[in-house]
Amino acid sequence: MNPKKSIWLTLTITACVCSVLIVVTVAITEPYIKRNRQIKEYTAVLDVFGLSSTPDTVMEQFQKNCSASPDGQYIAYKDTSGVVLGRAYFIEGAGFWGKIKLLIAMNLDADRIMGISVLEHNETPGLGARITESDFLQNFSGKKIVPKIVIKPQADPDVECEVDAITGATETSKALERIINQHISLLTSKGELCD
Amino acid sequence: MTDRRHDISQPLTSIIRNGLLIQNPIFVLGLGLCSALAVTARVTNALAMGIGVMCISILSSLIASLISSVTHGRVRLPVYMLIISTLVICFDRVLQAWYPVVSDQMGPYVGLIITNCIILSRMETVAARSRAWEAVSDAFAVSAGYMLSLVAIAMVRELLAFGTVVGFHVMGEGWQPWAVMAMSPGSFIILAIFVWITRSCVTVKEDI
Repeated sequence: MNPKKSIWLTLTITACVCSVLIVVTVAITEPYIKRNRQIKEYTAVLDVFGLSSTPDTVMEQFQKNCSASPDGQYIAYKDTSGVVLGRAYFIEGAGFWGKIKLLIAMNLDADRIMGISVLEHNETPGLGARITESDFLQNFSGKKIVPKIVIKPQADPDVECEVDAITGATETSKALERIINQHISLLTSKGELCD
Repeated sequence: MTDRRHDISQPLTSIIRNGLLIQNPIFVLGLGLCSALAVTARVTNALAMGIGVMCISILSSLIASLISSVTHGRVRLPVYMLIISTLVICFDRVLQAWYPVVSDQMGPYVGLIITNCIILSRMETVAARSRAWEAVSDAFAVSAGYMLSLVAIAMVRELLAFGTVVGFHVMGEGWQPWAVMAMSPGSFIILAIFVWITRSCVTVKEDI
């Protein structure tokens, strides 16, 4: 075979075999990956509403307790009789190194935080990345965000809108404060209650 | 095509010794440093990365050796790139589907195995002209060297940065974490110290 032909043949065959392999792998793994993503999101939502779940029960529990608002802006948390108890919003903004994505649950009066969870971040490991630790995130529950939230060192636990900052992660703490305050009008809007 | 297969034939023990020490990809050859700096803040991540590189390196070297007689020399590199990329994409998808926790921790670094030059260099320098078992054992030895180096760096960094080893607290309550060890400068420092030690113990041939 002449060399040019053999080069084309080799490349074509390799490319075809590789493409088929990738397509098959993607097709097989797609449903599992989709499900994992959903489990992760639902677990985070249940978590900010203070409900515990396991990967096996998360789907069932989410369907029982939560439903997305008609405009897709928030996820409503209902008790068993369908009464809305709170709403959770996905918000995001610039952190110290990259984007921070938060899930934040508000009470029915839309003035206090029920729970908060960090979905995505690129903060410094060991310092800013500690915003994902539950010890820090717990400080937010019950805090008032009107007129605004303040994250600072040695916060007074009795002041309703102050949260203790993370030592050594001033910038990340400030970024978190900024992201939440930027979205205050969204978070405090009561929205159309869905049933 | 001439058969160059017998030129570099060597016993298994020397292949292993070569991969772990004499041609240790990180400490001696200085290959794959990017990932060595990025995933070594925790031992588990380093181990996962090492296992990933090992699986892909062994498979690609095996394939490279098997198809060496039918690949034209001029397209060898593009063909190798296609093989590596395909394997990495499949590996990434499998991790995401069945090991989501590991996949989350490794983040984008799984995809970056594609650019790990250790895999390509073993295919090009050894696998393309070796028998299948030699290609496989060479890939295994070199990637084992890579994995052990990563784990060694990660042990030190995790200990100093978080006071833990493989997630277990080993330092006392009063331990003050070294934040720098969790960040890139820390990995540069530890890597340099390891390179220094290795190069003092192993005679490195610089006549390449």
